[in-house]
Amino acid sequence: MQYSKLQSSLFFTNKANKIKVFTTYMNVRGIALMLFLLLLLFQIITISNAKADIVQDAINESEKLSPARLFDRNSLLFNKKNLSSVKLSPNGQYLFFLVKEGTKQQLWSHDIKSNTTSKLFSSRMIKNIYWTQDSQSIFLHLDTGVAIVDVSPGAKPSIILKLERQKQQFFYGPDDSSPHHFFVWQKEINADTNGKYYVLYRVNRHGMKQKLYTADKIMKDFLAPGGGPIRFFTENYGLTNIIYDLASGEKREVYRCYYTDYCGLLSYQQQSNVLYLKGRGKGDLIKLLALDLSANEAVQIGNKQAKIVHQDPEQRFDLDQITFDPISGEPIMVSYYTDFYQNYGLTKIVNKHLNKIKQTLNSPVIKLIPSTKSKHWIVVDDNPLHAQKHFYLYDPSNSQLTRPLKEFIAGLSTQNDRNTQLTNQDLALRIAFQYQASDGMVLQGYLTLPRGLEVSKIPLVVNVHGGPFNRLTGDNTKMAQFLANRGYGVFEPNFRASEGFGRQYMLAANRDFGNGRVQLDINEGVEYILSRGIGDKNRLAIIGASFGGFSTLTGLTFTPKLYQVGFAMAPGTALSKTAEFFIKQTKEDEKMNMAKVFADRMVDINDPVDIKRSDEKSPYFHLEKINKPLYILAGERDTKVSILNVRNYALQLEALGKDVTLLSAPKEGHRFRHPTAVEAKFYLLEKALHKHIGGKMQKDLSPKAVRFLKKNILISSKKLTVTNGETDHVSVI
Amino acid sequence: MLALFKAEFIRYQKWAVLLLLLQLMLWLYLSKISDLLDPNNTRVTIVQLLLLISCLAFGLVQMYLHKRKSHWAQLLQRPRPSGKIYLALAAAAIANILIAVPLAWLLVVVGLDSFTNAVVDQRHYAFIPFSTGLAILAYLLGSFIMLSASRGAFMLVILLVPFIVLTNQDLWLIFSVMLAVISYLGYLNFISFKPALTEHPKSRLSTFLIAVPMQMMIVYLIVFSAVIFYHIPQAIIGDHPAMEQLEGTYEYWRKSVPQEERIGYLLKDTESENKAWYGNQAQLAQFNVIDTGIIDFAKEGQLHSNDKQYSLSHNSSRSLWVFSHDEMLLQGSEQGSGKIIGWLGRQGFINTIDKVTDADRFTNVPYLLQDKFIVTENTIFQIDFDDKTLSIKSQMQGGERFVGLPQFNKNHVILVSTEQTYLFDREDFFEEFELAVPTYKLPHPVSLEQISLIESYRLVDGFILSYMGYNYHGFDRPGAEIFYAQLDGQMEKIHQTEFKQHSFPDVIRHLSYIVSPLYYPLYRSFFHMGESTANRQSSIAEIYSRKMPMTVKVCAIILQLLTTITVFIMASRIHLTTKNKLVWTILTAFVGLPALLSFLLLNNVRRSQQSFPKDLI
Repeated sequence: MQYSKLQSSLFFTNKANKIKVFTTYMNVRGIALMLFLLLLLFQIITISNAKADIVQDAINESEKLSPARLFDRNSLLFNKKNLSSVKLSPNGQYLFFLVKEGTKQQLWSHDIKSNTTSKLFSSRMIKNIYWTQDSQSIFLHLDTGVAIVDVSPGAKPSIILKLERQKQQFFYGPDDSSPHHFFVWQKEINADTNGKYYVLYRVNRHGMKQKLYTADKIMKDFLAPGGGPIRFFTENYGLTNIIYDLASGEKREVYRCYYTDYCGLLSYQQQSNVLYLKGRGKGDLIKLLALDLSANEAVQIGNKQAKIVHQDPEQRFDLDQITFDPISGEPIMVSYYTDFYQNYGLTKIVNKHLNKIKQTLNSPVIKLIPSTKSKHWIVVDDNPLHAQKHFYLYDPSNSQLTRPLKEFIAGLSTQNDRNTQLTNQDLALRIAFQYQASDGMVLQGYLTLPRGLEVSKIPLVVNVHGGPFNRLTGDNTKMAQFLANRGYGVFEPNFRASEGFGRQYMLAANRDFGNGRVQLDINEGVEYILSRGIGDKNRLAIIGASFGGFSTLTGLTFTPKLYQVGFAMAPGTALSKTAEFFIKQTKEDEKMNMAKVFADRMVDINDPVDIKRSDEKSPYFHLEKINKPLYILAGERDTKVSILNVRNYALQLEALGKDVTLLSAPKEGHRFRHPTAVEAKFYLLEKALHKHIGGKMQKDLSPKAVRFLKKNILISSKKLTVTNGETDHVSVI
Repeated sequence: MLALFKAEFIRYQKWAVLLLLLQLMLWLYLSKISDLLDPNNTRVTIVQLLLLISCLAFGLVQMYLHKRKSHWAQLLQRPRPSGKIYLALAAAAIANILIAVPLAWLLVVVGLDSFTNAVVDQRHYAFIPFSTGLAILAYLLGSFIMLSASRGAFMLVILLVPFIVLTNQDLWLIFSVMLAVISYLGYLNFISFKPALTEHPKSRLSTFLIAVPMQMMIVYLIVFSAVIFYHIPQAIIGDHPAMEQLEGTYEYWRKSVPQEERIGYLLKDTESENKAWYGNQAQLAQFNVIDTGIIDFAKEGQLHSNDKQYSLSHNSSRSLWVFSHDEMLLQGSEQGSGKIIGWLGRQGFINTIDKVTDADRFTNVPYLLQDKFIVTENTIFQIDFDDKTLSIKSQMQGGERFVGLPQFNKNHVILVSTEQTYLFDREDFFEEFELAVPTYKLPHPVSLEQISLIESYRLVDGFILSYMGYNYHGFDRPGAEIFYAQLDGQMEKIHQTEFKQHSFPDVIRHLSYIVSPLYYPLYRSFFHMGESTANRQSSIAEIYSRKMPMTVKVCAIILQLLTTITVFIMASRIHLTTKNKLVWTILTAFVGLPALLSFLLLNNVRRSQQSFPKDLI
């Protein structure tokens, strides 16, 4: 399916133009009213017709696809050898990348000119890699500090700086404006006053430090252009962020924004004296802004309006990435997380090449880094319909795309791996679509349909994202693909409060979480999907993690007729309790701000009336309403959601005779990370959905995961059988 | 004699009964607050030690009271041989010891065995004769010190040392040696119990029997005296090597050079290609010490007082797992009620003892670690109490065995075997149910006995490893070797160093050799036998193979000659019989200075000189 075709058909359809005109009321008031009604009708028809196209196309397309084999759970979840951190040298001559195998990393280099790939060394310490700007070396961010390795053959990796987290010493990142420097923050103690403070250092490849700035707390955002001193930095005062300019040696405010509006420092163009920012400005969407510091020097610069350099042409999405030209310092490309991913060139040349790349790859998710300095650009095709990412090199001189690592990546897999590995033919169709909520707001979501099945009869799973100030993207497909392979249609709504769609979209939740507006968005999305002939309304499940878990509990509590089963991971049980615990876990000096953020957007834990309002809508206080099976997963090391609250909630449900299962993993946190825990989680999800809404299921499970489940399922009101695939032994939990 | 026995028995009977009652009360009290069979129970150890001292004091006091002038004459006035009188006194004392010492512990063990589910093995019963024998030995030692004509008799306390230190040997060996030492001391007491207490025994056998242990102690005291004549004076004048390390010595490198500079220090004057890089990286790397010490695993049926640990506990099931030497299994019981909940063997959990097969029993006594690992000499098991499973975490093949317990640091778990050092990723090692795969296998570059420890510096792609030891290149040849071990790569030797200079002069370092080359191996073995690395640098064969510096050898020969001549002259002057003179001279020729000193302690040199005819003086 052509994504571009689907997307372009979203709003502009011929059907939308078929409007019946009424001419009965000719007075001005009547005309105005009629025009308003016509506009409203136009919008409704436009949206519903647009949806009709893309959704119906997807249904037709999906049903035509060959049915998928039941792919191995673990081959989706775990890549035995995983390529990551693929980095192109600034001069475009080398690719360096990590191959991860368990906890081990191998650093590899690929010489583009000679097309040779060689392993440099293995390590267990590397977190990430960064090229030096002179393309001579790679900085290695380690769990114990920073190291460097030269491009020259036989070079050994050398530690250049020791950093200890316990002593509050942090690697900040490479200095892109210096040839081979990086930044670190270190806590230091004043010998006279015994007071602590933080120092920002610029460190060179030999570990020599240059003190740049001293502050009471770590500044997460600053600019030190041209390898010089700090010029701009951001400080937050309560919920307001202020950008200061230090050009005169004194702090001078140049820009400020409310915390929901975001103002991130990007780059400073010395010649034009322009500061590039990422923020909303006066508008709704996050965009690329330019602040001309030379103009109107005499006026109060802090209040001046920043100029918009680029914003989403569709007027729907927030800006994601900006690429600056390493030579001119001007922005050359902007990228947006749209329904999938969209790049826009800011120069003719970049645009020309971008179009060429788009035409060649025809992929909805292309991520790339253009550069006028480099001989090549690195291009990553992260098409959600591809089982693996594809890494390309683009040569702007001849507009050719090559895949230099194709054979290398193929060589990483054994024949056995290849047999179980996912292929493009295993993947289900995934579309982005819009639907209208009952209050008229247009919302975005994703739908993934199982291959080759009659869509009207499939069971449906609603996967609610966490946050809630977060979003699902078009390329994040693991859960959706897994469920679709098991025969479920998967609906993933970006309900109001989701980020990435502008301020209004995010704030439209108006603190109405729990049994309120946000949950309505989700439920109405489900109803819309059902109304389009997708899924069996009697076979519906709701799942989610974190806020998604809270939403799962909410769905099962307040709309038990809609959902047959709930699967909640790390769920908050009541927003007031979650907020209280979250604030308690926050650093002492940030507690007050965090409380303000919660009060502003969810619930004020210092206001009993507001707590009461929130609690009335939270599932924790309506336990008796649950009458469908509920599965809860929680990590006992969770620092965001209190395990005690989750356990208490599950125990109370059990005491009320509800069908509840609680998996409490002692070594896991907010998100399950250990492979055994992840395998067990997906198995339990499969098991729950299979049992209650009847999808397909891979019955075997590794002995480790069997033990994990037996050990950690603390509550199971109905006995659960777990099959050990190797011995075919059945354990009853 | 029976009357004397009765009188002597009744004399101390009240004390013995009092001691018994005190012990019973104490055990009763201690059993309420702690586990009496737990060898780590220091209170129990203190009580045992007090009993030992009491018996030693009993021997001293008993004979002191009889030795008083009027009492001694009255005692020996009886128409019986002095030997029989001694036997009556000793028998009465031992009878009291049998009341005071074993009964209380016997009641404790029988009580625990009969009325509780506590793990009571044969070895717990064996502790009764052991403690009784030790008490009798202490008593005999005390009485001999009081009866002996020699003021050096106290030196025979050395005979207690093996029974305090070496209790992990086989029981038959311990009891055989104990019986021999009791007989030996009994004999010495018997021959010393005579009317003229100031006269030394005349038989050469008895002289020899007293002299040998005395000489061992003399060697120790002379070596110890170096503290007085060397270490303290040197410290007072501020010139002691421990205070002012001499550059170029092993001690200087270990103690005066900061840890992060040690690699650079060794490499600075070498031709090593990347010496600056290694030195710099060692400064920035994460540092860790790997202990290569050899531990003694417990022996099957050893005395429980020698156990280093007692149990594994599992909190959530509130269970306690204690190793039974009789069953060679761990017995699980509920904390509090003591109810037996099962057994744990090599093949996992077993519900009832009747289902145990030989394959379940451990072949060696394991070490229990962190409430989740069972360590034997060649296998590490991981226990999952919740799931009631036992999995093998690591296993040695062939003759290879672990020499120590797993060492845990921030990133790794380290295992040292007889052949190599294994480094496991910490996360992987704690991964349940799986055999751990080492990330590094580092073969020992020299014999493990030559390595004191390994220092590791964690680099991006591996480790710099520094192997070192005071005897790294052989006896008294301290040194170190530096290696670069790459992950997935080889272990490359960077450099080796031998420290030719020593902090302490040869005479001080090898004083025990100079004092007596003959006793030197025995001294090394005897006074180092209690150390966990007893087999290091102290096997008799190894000790004899040592090459001493020439100055030490010359000093030893000169001292040996001088002491032999001195003994010969003195023996002549005090008119010893020719045979005795010859025996002392030959003994000194072999033993050296300790023989001279024992000669002085076992002969009335001063009095003999005073009674010499004038023309002979």
